[in-house]
Amino acid sequence: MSARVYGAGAEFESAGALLRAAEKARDRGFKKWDVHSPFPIHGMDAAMGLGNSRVSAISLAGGATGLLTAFLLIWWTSAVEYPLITHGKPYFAWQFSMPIFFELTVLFTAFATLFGMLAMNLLPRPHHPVFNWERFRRVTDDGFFLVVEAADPLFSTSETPRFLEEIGGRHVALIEE
Amino acid sequence: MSSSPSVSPQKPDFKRFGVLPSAFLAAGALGAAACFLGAFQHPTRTAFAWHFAFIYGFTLCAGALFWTLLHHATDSGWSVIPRRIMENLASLFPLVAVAFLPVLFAGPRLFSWMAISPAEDALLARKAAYLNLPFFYGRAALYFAIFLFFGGVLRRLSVRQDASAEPGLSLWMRKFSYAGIPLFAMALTFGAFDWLMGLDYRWFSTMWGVYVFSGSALSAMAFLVIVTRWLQANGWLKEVTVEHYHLMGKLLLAFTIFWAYIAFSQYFLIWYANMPEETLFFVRRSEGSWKWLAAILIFGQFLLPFILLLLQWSKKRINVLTGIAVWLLLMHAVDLYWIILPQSQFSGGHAEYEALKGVIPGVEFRWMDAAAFAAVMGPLFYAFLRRLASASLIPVRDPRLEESLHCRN
Repeated sequence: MSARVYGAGAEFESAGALLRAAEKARDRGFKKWDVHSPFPIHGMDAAMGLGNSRVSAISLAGGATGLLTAFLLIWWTSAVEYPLITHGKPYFAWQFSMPIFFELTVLFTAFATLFGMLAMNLLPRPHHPVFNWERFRRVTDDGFFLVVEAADPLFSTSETPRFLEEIGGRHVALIEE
Repeated sequence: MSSSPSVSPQKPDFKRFGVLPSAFLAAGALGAAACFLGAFQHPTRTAFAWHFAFIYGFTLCAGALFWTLLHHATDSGWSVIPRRIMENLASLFPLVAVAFLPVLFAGPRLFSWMAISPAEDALLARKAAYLNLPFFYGRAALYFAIFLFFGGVLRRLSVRQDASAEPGLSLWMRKFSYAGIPLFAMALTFGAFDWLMGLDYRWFSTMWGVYVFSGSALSAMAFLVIVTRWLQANGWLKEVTVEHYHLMGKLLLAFTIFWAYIAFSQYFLIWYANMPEETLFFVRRSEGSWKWLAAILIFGQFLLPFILLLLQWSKKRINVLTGIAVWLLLMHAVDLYWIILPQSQFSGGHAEYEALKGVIPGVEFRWMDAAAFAAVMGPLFYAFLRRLASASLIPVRDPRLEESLHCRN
């Protein structure tokens, strides 16, 4: 059974070594690659050349939907469908609607952000090819890994492992799909 | 763990500020002379114009003291570099106290409770235990003692550290700040009660102190952005990076939202309860042309800066952020003008207001407003420039300086 290659992985000594390796992988021009560590590493975003998250656009859309929902809900129920005078206040007023505007905007923004983030990360995902690599188990303990995917245009089964060794990676291996 | 001096002290030469200090002094002198004339011609209107200017200077310095206290109490890293600017501003309370003296002299013209006897109004009689002259003077003295002490001591220790490099001074400043934050909160809250809410003794709002605080902190942060930008344009503070501006921009955003949250909550509760002695404050300020100022506040102090500051783009473009900060300082003036000046036209209760409705004029800008503003803020800015030139612009031997130099968002 000849499995397809998912990518090439390498282990690094420390968080600092992984950070420097990420800078070199970024400068090399890889597009489809990732780093894995037991904890978040400060400065990794810049070292990997990641831009701003695009989740904020989804959040904004969620917030706008929430505001509109709150407005239609309050206005339609209290001023159109079942108008009723309470406390001598108007059927509809921005003053008493504001807390609900605020609440639903926040609620919808939170949902949009959470589910938008999960969707953009392709989560939930019960299995991933990197788990086929025995050494990768240490990622939840003391292992720092850098993996370049075979789908990257610059990937080659001979060149990429050599590059990973050059930038200080150890236990370089090809990971099967 | 003493820090290695990775940054050399930079003390601007006062002469490099050019004509700016003289211009501030001249504006102050002209304004003071005009106010002196105004005090004879239109004493009440001039008193209100002065009170507006005094409160503007007071809230600015109080905001600066808040940020200094907060820096030490939370042991902040990023704000070491811009801290000295806040310390300089917070140490100007002696001048603010001088600006308060005319307010004392004009007391009965500003605070209607001083002009009548408690026997004349049951509402005042019930509050006479708090609203009486000896207690009013005593409280003011206590507030200023607190502001003067903490504004003075935090700057003095900080400047001493520039020379001695003792890390222990940082611990002392932190301890002072632990004690200072509750005292500052009380002094600002009750100061806001006495000097702003007290303009109409009938009116009350328990959120008033927080409302004034939110505007103070916002205006001081806007001032910090502007001064930092100005110093950089003149070749100082090269250590301030876009990361620092981004952080200041975030705080501007936070306090824009906080101000709106408090302002709306206060309005909302009073609108819903609909009790005459509470609603008059807003009724009075949402009729005639005053409603346009109210609208400018909603859109100008909240919606516009909120939407702009929400974008990372505006916080990382230094000139855009400075523009927003200038706008927010202007909006703070509109906010205070809208709070204080309606009281100069009418100081009665609900029944009198109903009878006079339509007769009371709207917004009336007078020359006294500009004169008093120049008279208070001119010397204050002059003294601020003096302070800038009297010590290094950066606390160069602060143990957390390195952290501030390399701070990241």
